[in-house]
Amino acid sequence: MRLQNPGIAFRSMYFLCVSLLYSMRLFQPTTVVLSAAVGNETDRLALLKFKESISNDPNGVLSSWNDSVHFCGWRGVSCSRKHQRITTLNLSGYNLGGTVTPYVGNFTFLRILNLGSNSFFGEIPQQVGRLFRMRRLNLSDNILEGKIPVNLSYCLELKVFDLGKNRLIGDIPLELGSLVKLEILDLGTLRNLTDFSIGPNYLSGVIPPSLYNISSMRIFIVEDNEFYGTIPRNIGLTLPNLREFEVGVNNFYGKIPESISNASQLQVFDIPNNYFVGQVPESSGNLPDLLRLNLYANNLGDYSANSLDFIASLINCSKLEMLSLEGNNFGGILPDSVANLSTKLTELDLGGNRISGKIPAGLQNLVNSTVLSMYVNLFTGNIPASLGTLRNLKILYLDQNILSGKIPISIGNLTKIYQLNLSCNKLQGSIPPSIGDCQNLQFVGMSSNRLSGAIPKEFFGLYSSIHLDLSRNSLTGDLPVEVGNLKHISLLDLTGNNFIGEIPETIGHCESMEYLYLGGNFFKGPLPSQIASLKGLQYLDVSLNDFTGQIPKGLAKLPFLVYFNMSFNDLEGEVPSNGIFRNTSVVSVVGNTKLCGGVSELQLPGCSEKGKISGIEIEVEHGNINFENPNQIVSHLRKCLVSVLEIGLACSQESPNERMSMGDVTRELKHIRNAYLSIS
Amino acid sequence: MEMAERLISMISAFSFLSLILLFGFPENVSANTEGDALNALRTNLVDPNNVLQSWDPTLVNPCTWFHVSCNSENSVTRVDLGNANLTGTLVPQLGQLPNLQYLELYSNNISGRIPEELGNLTNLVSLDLYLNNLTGPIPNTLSKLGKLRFLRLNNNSLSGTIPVSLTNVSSLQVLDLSNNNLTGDIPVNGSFTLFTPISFQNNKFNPVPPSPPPPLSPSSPASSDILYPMSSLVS
Repeated sequence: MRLQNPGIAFRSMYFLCVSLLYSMRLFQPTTVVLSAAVGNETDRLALLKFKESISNDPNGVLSSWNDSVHFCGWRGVSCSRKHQRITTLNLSGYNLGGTVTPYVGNFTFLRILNLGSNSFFGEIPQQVGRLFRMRRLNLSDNILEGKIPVNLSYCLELKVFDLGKNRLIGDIPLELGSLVKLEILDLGTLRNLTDFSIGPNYLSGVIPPSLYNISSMRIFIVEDNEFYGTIPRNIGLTLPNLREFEVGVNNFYGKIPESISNASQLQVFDIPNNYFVGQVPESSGNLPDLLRLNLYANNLGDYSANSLDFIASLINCSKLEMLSLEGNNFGGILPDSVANLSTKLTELDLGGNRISGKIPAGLQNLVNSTVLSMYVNLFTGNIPASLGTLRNLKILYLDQNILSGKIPISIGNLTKIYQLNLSCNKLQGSIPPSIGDCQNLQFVGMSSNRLSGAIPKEFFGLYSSIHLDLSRNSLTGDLPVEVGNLKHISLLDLTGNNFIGEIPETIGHCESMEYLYLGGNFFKGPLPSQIASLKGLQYLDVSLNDFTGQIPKGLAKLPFLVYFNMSFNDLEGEVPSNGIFRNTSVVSVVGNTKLCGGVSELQLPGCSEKGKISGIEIEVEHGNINFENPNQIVSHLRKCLVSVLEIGLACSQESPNERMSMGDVTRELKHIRNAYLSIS
Repeated sequence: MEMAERLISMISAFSFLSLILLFGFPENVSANTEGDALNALRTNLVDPNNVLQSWDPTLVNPCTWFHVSCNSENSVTRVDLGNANLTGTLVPQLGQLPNLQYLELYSNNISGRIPEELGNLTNLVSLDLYLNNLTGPIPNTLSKLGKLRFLRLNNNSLSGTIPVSLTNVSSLQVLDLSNNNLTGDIPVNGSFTLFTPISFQNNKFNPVPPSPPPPLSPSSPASSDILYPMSSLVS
C-alpha cells in the first residue's frame, strides 16, 4: 500500500521520536513527567502554599495572587511558553516576611528563584534540591538561618548561587575521599557555577577544595564568615575566569598565591581582616583589569625593606581605583613608583604599617585621589607642597608619623577636604592662613606637634567645623572673638599651648559646643558668664591657666555638664553648690586659693556676706582718738576688742590651712596696738 | 483550534501583565540595613557637587562613606551634610538609623516635608534642617525624641502649628524655629520656658497677649496723674 501523504507520515514519525527522546531526557528518578495540565496545578498549589507561608506583605505584592488571573500572570511569576510551568519566581526587594515553604520543591521547571532582599526567616528547605533545572538561586539579604541544605548539590544546572547576607551556620565540610555522604554538603558538584556568594553568614570550617576546581567560577564571595585555611597555590589556574574574589573577615592564613595573576580577568581581590602573611606577589601587575586590591588588616610584609617593591609592578594595572595595604607589616620606604599608579586611583590606604622615608612628592600625579591615608607609620621629612594639587582630596590622614617642617600653604587648595589629621608629628611653624579656603573642613586634628604663632583668624571662618584639636603645640596669641562664628563646633581642644589673653564673650555663640578644653595655657581674666549659654556643654576644662574672678553661676544650670576642671587658676569667690557642683568627683577646684563655699566635701573655707573668705582679713580702723568724748572712747575700745577677738577666731578655724599663721598674728597684734593704744 | 486560541490569549495576557509589572510599579528598595536607608536618601537627593559619590550601597556597611560617622559597632551615629549644595527631598527611611545622634542637613536647598519617621530616631541629639526649602508641618512625632538637645528648623517654609508635645522633650536646650510660616500659639510650658522670642521670630504666630498692667498702689493718685496718666501704665 502506498502512503497517500508520505511527508506527513515522516513528519509525524519525526515528532514522535523527538518527543520520546525529549521525555527520556527529562526522566529523572526523583520526578515524573506529567501532563502539562497536572503540572500547572502543582505549580498553582505550590504558589498558594508559598503565599500561605508569607506572614508579612507590606507592599501588597501578593494581592494579585488569586484565581482571577492565571498564575503565570501573578506578580513575580514567569512561565514557560510550552508547558505553562513556572520558570521564574522573582520577588526580590519587596520586604516580604515569612518562611520559604518546602513546596518550592514542586517548581520543577524553575530556572530562577530570586527571593533576595526580603525578610525571609527560618531554614532553607531541603526541597530546593529538587529544583534540578535551577540556574539562578538568590536568597541573599534575608534573615535565613540553619544550614545550607545538602541537597543543593543536586542542582547541577546552577550558575548563580547567592545565599549571602543571612544567618546561615554550619560547616561546609570536606568531602571524605570519594565517598559522598548524603549529609555532607559538597558544592563541588555544581560544575556550571559562575557566581557563588555565601557571605556574610555564620558559616565555618574549610572551603572544600572542589569548589576551587569549578573553572567557570567568576564571582567567589565568602566574606564575613568563620572560614579558615589557605588559598590553594594554583588558584589562578583552577579558576582562570575569576573576576571577583572576596574572602575578607574570616580566618584565612598563608600566602597570597603567585598564580593569582593567571586569573587574567581579575577585577576585585578583596582579602581584608584575615591572617595572610608573606609578600604581595609581583605578578599582581599582570592583572590589567584590576580595579580593587584590598589587603587591609593582615600580617603581610614581614616588615622587610623590600616589602613595597611590588608597587612598581602595579603601575601596569591601569584601571586600579583602590589600593589598601593598611594594617599590615609593611616596612621599608614607599617607592617613588607609587606616583606612577593609575590616575584612576581614588583611594590609597597605607596606614598602620612601618613605612619609612619621605612622602613622595610624586603622589601629586594621583589627581583623582579622594582618600590619602598614611597614618601610623615612620614617614619623615616634609609634607610635600605638591599634595595641595590633589583638589579632589576629601580625607588626608598623616597623623602619627615623624613628619617635620611646615604645613604647606598649598593646603588651602584642598577645597573639598573634610577630614584632616596631622597630629602627632614634629611639624613646626605657624598654621597657614590659607587653611581658611578649606571651607568643607569638619574634623581637623593638628595636636601634638611643634606648631607656633597665632591661630590664623581664617581658622574661625571654617563654618562647618565640628572637631578642632590644636592641643599640645606652642601656639600663642589670643582666642579671637571670631571663635563665636563656629555654630557647629562640638569639640574645641586648645590644651597645652601658650595662648594668652581673655576668653571672648562670643564663645557663648558656639551653641553646639560639647567639649571645651582650654587647660594648660596662659589665659587670664574672668571666665565669661556666656559659657553658661553653651547649653549642650558636657566637658569643660580651664585648668592650669591664670583665670581670675568668680565662677559663672550659670554653669550650675547646664543640664549635661558632667566634668568641670578649673584647678590651678586664681579664681575667687563662692563655688556654687547646685548642679554639677554637688558632685566633687567630677569637679576640681584645687590650686585656687581664694575660692570659698561649695559643698562641704570640697573642704573650702566658708564665704562671708560679701561672698569672700571671712576670718582672715581683719579690718582695722585708724583714727584720731579724742579722749574728751566718752562715747568715742567706748566705741574705740569696742573696736579694739573686736579686732583682737577676730584674731582669736582666725586662730581657731577648723582646718589648719585656714588658721592664721603666728607671724601674721604677731603682725596684726602690733597693728592693733599701734592703732588703738598708741597715744598720739 | 480552541487550544491554540487559548494559548494565544494567555500569552498576550501575560505580556500585557508583564508590561504593567515592568513599568507600572516603581522598583522597591529593601531597607534591611542602615546602608539601604542612607542609599534611599541619596536616591532622593540631587547632588551636583558629588559629595555622595562614595555612598556605595554594595559595601558591607556605610561606615566608610564620606560624611557618615559610625560607632565601634559600625552603626551610624552622624550624618554631616551641611552646606553641601543638595536639592531634592528627605525620605522616611531616615528613621531607620537607630543609633543616629547628629543629623546635619542644614544650608542646602532640600524641599518637601520633614518625614514623621524621624520620630523613630530615639538616640538623636541634634536635628539641624535649617536654611532649606522644607514645607509642611513640624511632625508631632518629633516629641518622641527623648534625647534631643538641638532642634534648629529655622529659615524654611514650614507651616502649621508647633506641636505642643514638643514641650515634653525635657532635654531640649537649643530651639530655633524662626523664619518660617508657622501659625498658632507659641507654647510656654515645659522645656519651652527656656526659649526667648528670638527662637520664634518671623513667623505668623498668634500675637502674645500683652501682660496686664501692674495694680496701682492704694494711695490716692496725685492730681497730676489723673490729668496726665503715666505713660508706662498704658499698654
